[in-house]
Amino acid sequence: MRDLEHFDHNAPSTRDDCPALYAELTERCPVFHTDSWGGFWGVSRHATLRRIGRETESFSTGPGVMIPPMGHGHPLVPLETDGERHETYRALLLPHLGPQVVARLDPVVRKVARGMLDELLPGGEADLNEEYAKRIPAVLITRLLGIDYEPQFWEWTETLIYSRLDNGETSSLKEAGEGLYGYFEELIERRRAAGAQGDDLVDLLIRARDDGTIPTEEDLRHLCFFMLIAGLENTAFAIRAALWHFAANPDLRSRLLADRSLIRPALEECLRMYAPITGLARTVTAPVELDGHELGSGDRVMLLFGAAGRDPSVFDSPDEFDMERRGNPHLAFGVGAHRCIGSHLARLEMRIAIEELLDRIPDYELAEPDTTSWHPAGPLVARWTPRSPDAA
Amino acid sequence: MRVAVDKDRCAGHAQCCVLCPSVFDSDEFGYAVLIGDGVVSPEDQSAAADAIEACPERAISRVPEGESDD
Repeated sequence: MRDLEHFDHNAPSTRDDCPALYAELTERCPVFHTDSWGGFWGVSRHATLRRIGRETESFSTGPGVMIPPMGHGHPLVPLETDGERHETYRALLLPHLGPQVVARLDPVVRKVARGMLDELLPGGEADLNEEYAKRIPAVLITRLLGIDYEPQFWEWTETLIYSRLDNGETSSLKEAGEGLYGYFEELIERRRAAGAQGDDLVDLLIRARDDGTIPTEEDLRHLCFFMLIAGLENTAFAIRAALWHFAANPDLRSRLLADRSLIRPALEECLRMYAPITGLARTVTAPVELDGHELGSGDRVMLLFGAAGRDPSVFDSPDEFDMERRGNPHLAFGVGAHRCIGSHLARLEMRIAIEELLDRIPDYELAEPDTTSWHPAGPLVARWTPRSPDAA
Repeated sequence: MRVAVDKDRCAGHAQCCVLCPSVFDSDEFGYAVLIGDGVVSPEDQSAAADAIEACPERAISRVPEGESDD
């Protein structure tokens, strides 16, 4: 068993080490302790993650889900809330992000994707990470929030997500947090003055604040912030990983081109194998036993979503990409009470992004296959035969 | 064939609805709702089996015919 004492889920070597690491974890060391980032327990078995996801009283998100914390000085709401407050906020947001509501966005997402592809087609080359994978979620989440897209949103959110790993790089992180919160404070004031009667998520949240459903002004701001940041990075990551995978696997891509109905299960396999979020943490609230290990109150436990997606007791040949898997119960969107409420939107964006790109640019190739990775660090430059956009 | 959904476990992933829409619908919050009390016609059995497997929460189970679900 490789050394897990210093396991760091954020280290590039961890990313490079899996699948071998994940397969070993679930079978031989499903609960382990690492001294990284102040110390925490890593858990990897699918069944254990399911249990922890359900037992919210024993395994709380309140003290924070990110290791290390984002560091901007505010909680992530509703992710880092418990009990009634958590249920209230989910009940408020779920109807606006549910499967049927999201399905009605299909033509909107398609139009957005086609517009972007029309711009890219004649050039014959582009960084599909910057110009496509990141742009689609940005346009959609800002549209849902009823706000105009600002390029600064990406700068701020990327700073918040990545510079917390740089131990000590705090000033740009503080600026990013203040930038986003300042933006939402000003927006909320403006919308309130205008009556907040729109059908977008920001006006919905303002109305919920004003009728007391949201008890504090802080929570209103936290919710707006969280909707934006949650709707950007992870979906972009997933689209990028899929674009990379299909370019790196031409036989697979040919099958998708011949049968569009395979795109959905192929994307589920991408989510399973690339797991945009490696893991999120819980804090133990009272002594508890996990797979033979005794955990104490205050202990931090990381749910390793990517590892659970390779649990051999759930997935046959877990390190093989297999679109024919029956069902594919991966945990890329989390598990239990805090299951990602944006999962339906993310899946729609992924599917349409890939469908439209395969329609318009079925021949895209990576410009530098040896140095381009599925991981979001770095561009995803692709080339294709230049062509004109289709006539409407 | 008949299926049941454990509502305490359902977290609203809605993959059952994607894979077997004739048996699984979702409510306004995205939680699973059984169509026709969960009875599965012969032509839907394969899709229903996929839906059971697809649930990340293991919230769906087969119910022996003739038993009522709660």
